Amino acid sequence: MALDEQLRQLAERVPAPPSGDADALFQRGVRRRRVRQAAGGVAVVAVLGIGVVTLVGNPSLPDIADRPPAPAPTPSEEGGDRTDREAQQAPADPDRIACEPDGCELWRRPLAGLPATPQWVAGDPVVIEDEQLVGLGVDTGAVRWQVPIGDELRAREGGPVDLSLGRVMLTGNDELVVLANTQGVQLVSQSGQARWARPVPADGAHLSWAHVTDTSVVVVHEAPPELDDTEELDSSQPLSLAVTITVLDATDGQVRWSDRAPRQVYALPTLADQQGLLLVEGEDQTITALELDSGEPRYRLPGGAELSPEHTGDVLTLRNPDGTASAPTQLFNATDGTVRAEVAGTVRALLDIGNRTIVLVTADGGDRPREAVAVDPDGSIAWRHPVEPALADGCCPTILDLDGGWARIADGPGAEPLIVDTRDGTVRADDPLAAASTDTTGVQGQIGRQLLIERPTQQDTNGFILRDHTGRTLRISGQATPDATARTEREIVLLANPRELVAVRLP
Amino acid sequence: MQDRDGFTGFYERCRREVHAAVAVTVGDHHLAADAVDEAFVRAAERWPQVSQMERPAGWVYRVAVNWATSWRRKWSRRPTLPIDALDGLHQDDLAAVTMLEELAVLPLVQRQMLVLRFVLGYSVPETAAVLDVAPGTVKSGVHRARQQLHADVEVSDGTR
Repeated sequence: MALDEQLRQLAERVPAPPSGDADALFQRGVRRRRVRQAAGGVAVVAVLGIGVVTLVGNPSLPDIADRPPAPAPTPSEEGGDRTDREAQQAPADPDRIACEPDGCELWRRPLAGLPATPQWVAGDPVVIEDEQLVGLGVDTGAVRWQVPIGDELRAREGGPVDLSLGRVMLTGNDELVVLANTQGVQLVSQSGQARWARPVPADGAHLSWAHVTDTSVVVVHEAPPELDDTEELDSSQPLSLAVTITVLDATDGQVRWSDRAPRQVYALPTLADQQGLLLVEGEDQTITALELDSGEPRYRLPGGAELSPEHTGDVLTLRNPDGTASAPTQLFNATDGTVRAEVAGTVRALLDIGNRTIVLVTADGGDRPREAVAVDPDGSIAWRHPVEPALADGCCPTILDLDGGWARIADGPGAEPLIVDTRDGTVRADDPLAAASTDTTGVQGQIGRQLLIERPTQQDTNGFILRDHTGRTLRISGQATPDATARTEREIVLLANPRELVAVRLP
Repeated sequence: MQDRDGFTGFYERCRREVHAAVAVTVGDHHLAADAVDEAFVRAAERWPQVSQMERPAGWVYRVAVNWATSWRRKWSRRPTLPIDALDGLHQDDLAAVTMLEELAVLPLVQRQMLVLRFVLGYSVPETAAVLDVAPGTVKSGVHRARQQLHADVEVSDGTR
């Protein structure tokens, strides 16, 4: 058979796509176009009577009417990574021009205050409202789709869906949205197509974790110990009496495997996504890494009391096995559980920068980080640097990844940071993230690599400031510091607390 | 209204074939469905320009493939089995599965050239315009792809 006939026949054997709504897609596209055109003409936005976004810096934006019409877009500008060579050669993205130079708020939406919301899916948020999963467009906040929560998630026919704290979770990735509660699990595509719903009753246990990878959905239920009046809870005993793991096939919701974990399951979403593994602790306190899709063990690690596994990149670490801070801590290769390196002391924080892992470690039985150590994939130590002056408090050490090969080591808001070159450990004298003014109390959190959340110093202002490393700021008033943030491909940042969801476009 | 009608007509005419073309290219009809939806939204967003193109379906196809490969690069831990492009009835079709497996090892741009040429029926100049390459590049790319597929046969229109 000729090649062209073979290919045409192949195409005929592709199943038809699910039924589509041309009108809905057209409306979405029109809304995006309007937002793109409208956002460029506004310098100050009064939003729903809740608060006002003030652009700090150059307040004047170019008049969109004076700009030449955008050229016909080439496909290379669309859909691909910004690192594509073709994208770099393409004309400037008009979406960015429209909101220069300081960004702007796009929309706000009040939320129902449910513990499970919101969740980010492919850059578009999903929330729960009136017992429906509601997909919102990230550009406008308008409703893209709505899917009723399935009956499989109700305790009885016609009864309400239990959406209370500890009994429900909403999670997702770029393709899939999963809603799990103590009755069942429901999966919807990120375009709002209902895929399946399955009852997975928890028999009174609460839902401790739900996560979806591209192949599986995992839910973990925990039942607290039952004590009578004469018993006391021994702190050396596990808090959970019964831990049940259920893993479902993401394609059709069929149960791949289900088992009881003797002690506990460690919720490490990046380990599940990147290595396809689930960590469980056994009766003998060993840690077993299970294949998420099959439940088969891949490797075991030495256990110990008060374990706290952490995962970043390809590195997994546990607190030292015998529980004493002076014993060395092992860094494991997350893929196969082999030892990559040993570092003295307890690991307090770690950061993966692709080709190197930076860890903050304690020494001499104390809690306070004493040293930053850079470990390469072959286990060799690239450099060490004392950090004690910068982390005098020892409370909450963090390592932030900055552009240009720098890491920012600090301890709590307002602390004097240590800026180190991740390549050789040399210290930089200035802090590239130092506030341009004295208007903030210091870094509260980080979004991605370049954006910080800071709290204003004025006590009468309820809000926070987004700031990038060049000093450009965007002030968000009328909202408490968000509980959750996400940054999308299109330079839109989503900020959420249980009462409100806000979308802002970055400069 | 005219824009909406024009877009709707375009969508209804082209969606099925673009979806199939993307599914064959990326080897996954579920991923293709989401990618094509997103590409049509982007076409609607830029409808004044896209509607003037000679082959707007080619633009949608390429945007969808870009989106799908970008998604897979970021999120997919395992390679999709080429069999995921087929409907259930044909997953036992050895010839179809073999063809998909052979396509999967080709560089993406060669796959796109084959699909645009022989699934969507674009001419060499039209294929070159969609992929933003020279016509000679399309000819040589198709030739190399055919060599790799061991399909050294004439196509049904007599060309090689």
